[in-house]
Amino acid sequence: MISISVPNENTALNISSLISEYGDSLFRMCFLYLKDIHLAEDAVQDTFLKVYKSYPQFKGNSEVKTWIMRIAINVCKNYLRSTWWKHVDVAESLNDIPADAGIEGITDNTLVLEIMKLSPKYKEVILLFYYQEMTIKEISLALNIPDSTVSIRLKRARERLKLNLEGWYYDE
Amino acid sequence: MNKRDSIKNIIDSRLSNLKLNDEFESKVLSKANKPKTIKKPLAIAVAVCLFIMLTIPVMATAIPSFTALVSLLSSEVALMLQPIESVSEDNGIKMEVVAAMNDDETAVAYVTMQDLTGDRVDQTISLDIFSITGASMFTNEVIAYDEKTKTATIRLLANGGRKLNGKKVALRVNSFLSGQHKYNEVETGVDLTGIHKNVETIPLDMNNIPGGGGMLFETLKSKSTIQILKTDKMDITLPGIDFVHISNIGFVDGLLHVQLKWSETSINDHGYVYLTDASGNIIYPSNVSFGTDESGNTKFGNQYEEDIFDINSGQLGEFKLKGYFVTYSGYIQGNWETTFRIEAVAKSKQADCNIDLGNLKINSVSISPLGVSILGDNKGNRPDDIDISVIMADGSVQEFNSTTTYTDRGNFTRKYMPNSPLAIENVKEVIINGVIVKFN
Repeated sequence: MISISVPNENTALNISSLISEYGDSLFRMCFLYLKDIHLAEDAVQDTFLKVYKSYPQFKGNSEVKTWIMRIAINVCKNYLRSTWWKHVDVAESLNDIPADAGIEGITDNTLVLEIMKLSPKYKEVILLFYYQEMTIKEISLALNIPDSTVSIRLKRARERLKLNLEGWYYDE
Repeated sequence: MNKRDSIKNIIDSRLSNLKLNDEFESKVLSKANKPKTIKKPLAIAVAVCLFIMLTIPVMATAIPSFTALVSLLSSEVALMLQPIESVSEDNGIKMEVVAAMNDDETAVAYVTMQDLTGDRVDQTISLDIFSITGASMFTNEVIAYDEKTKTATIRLLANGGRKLNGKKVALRVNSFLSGQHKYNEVETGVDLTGIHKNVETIPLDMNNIPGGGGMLFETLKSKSTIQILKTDKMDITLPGIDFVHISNIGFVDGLLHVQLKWSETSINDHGYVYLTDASGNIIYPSNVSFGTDESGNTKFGNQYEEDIFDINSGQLGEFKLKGYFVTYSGYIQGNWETTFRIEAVAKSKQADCNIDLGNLKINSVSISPLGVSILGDNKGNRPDDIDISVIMADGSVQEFNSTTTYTDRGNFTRKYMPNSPLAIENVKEVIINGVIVKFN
């Protein structure tokens, strides 16, 4: 059963708390999706702009998070569609972002690079499931595709990652 | 910890520096609260365009930076310029996009960088991380420097765009270099006759390197993995240079490899070694860049450059190994960004065609003051045997001084740019491999 929350229409949108709660993770997700830090920044800004402007029309048919993710994924898709698209060296793109030396355990870019290399339809399910920690049902609402399609894409995306991350990847 | 937590943690850890800045919310709110633009009927829009075109000279006199720029350029170029005058200031440095000109694939922006507090901007300034949204290939060159105001005027060329005309674009600069010093004809002192043919090598994944170049590069790239010299087997210092040294030399698969290692503090220093004989003939290398991990295995990075020569070992006695290196004393970071709409002052002309060049099918040719573009579908290798002539109405043949090729998912664009704006009304025809495409 889908968890549905209905926002109080009399309550003004607290954009500040939404940015604080989802901003950084959206920024990172958009970067992995678009493979370009500047486009990702623009995409997050567009996402919150749309959230701010269309909140009065938000019917509460899904969790706010699902709604925001749906907007973000659509913004990213539009960026891919509306701009010419260049071949991006994902390693170079990731290399532009310095890793935080203070964080232990991250010694290579393997997983992040492999996720960036996935095609958009596999990348989006991986990012929403693993990174945004959404359920299959929530992802189906966010992407407007059937649950079964989400499951199949997730399975195929996992297989691709498993193939490319041999020796690194493990099953649950 | 399950896999879900693990993947989330890895992404968050690796991208921990990707955070929205404090101004993000105010940017969103300010955009959200901007008054809506009212769409005007086409007739009004055309009238506005005409007004803008006709009043450019008047506007120009009212914009000192634009006037100053025009004084630096030829009248043909000045006529093509759209005044922008958009300023961004950060870290005590002011960036101004003074003017721009464009067509659908190419944008040229004239940008000034001025140090308001010190001497970080000089005549050797080179933009490091910079972009114009919607384009992919960038070059920049200083066209003027005013010592009194510490202002450099830079011509920024962006290529590889699609339908750029009329688009709102963001010009961003995140870092630049200055204080350039060039080292020419550096004597390495290496005795080339003593170079070993049996050397230890390590594999390099050509799909995981930041770049490379030269005549051999495509061949090397096609091998996916190549052997290069094991790192740090030598330490040959170069006279008067402390930012790079030769870390190994040897023959690998019949090619002479010279490995350069940049110092850890080196940012954007660059250069190469080359071979020269008594007659002054020079052989330039191909090159690949790479890094190494703690175990000495290659990985993505820029710490090393391997310069590779296709030369027979028997010939080496005739040559000397010399170097050319460039270093910068200044590396300045900041966040300079302005957004503006680029509108071509002169329209482009396009002609459809159907020219089959094997891997490439050319389906249209467009001409604009910035150059001639051929567009088509490319399957397989990029063609390099396109013979193009642009015939003017008076029978003369237009010359071009640069060519840029861009392929995106099979869509092929090659742009030929002239020295000065092309008078498109005088272009009679474009001849591509013998096929005539008429314009007038």
